[in-house]
Amino acid sequence: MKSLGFLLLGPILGLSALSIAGQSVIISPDALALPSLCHYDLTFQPPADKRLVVSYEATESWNYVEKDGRSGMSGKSTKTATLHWTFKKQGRQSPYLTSGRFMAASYLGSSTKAGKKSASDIVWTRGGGYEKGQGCHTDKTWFAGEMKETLAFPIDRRGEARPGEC
Amino acid sequence: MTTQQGLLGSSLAGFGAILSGKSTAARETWTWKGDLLNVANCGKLVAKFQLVNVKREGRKNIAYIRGSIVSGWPKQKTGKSAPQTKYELWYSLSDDTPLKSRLSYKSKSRTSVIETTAYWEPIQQKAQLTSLKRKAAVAR
Repeated sequence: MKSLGFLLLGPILGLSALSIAGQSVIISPDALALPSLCHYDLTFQPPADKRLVVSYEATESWNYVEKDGRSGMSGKSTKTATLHWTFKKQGRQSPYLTSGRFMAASYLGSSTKAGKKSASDIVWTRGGGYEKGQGCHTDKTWFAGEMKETLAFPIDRRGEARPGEC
Repeated sequence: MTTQQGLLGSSLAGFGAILSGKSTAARETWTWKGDLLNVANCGKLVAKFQLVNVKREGRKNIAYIRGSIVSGWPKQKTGKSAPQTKYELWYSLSDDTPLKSRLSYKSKSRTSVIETTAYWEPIQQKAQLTSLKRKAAVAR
């Protein structure tokens, strides 16, 4: 981050503010001693020649009770994935558009619905699609869709949401 | 000081990588408004974030950002039954890398913890690949 060097140098040079590459950086006189007074530029500027390798792990449990008091559905799951993200500039409101590519993913889960127990144990790998396992969550599209929604750009779009997630 | 909402919103949903157009001081808070696609009928969510601190680790300056959704859940999810969320992000200011994030979500019927880690990896350009293939062919 270019501006940080100036943040540190600023007090030494006796400067109160610098403009670097069009960005105004506010420098506190005691920035070195108390970084909380500094302003930090949190703008995400992904490099065009690199991709972001993301590891993802989600553990969930749920227990939905029907209005009649009987247990409707319960279960737990662990989802993992490795993804490659690339970015490009798109516009002001959404300056970077990411494309996510699954390299590997897995779903391990068990649930009980209306007294019936079920289990899922699924692994996907790049190019190979569904690799091994059993269970009801064998639809890779569903899984990929859910994870993309979670990871990527959840706002500015509606629809595709799964009911009951709240 | 501006916050472009689109990408910041993704930080709510687990990955937490992206803070677009945001300049802030440590301990400063800011508000995000939007919807989450993966949460059904969640209305206009309002979240508050804070740049808690910036620490130097080795050669990197690591920002620690914390946030939670404070309002905007649909009517049936308000009051005591409103889900609780806590979002944490460790972001390297030195090389624009979202190092680690953690999202916890708890409602009366569901709990969820999502953790991510990330690093940059060079993309081999097509030209580079072609060049490498040629070299390999010549070597044969």
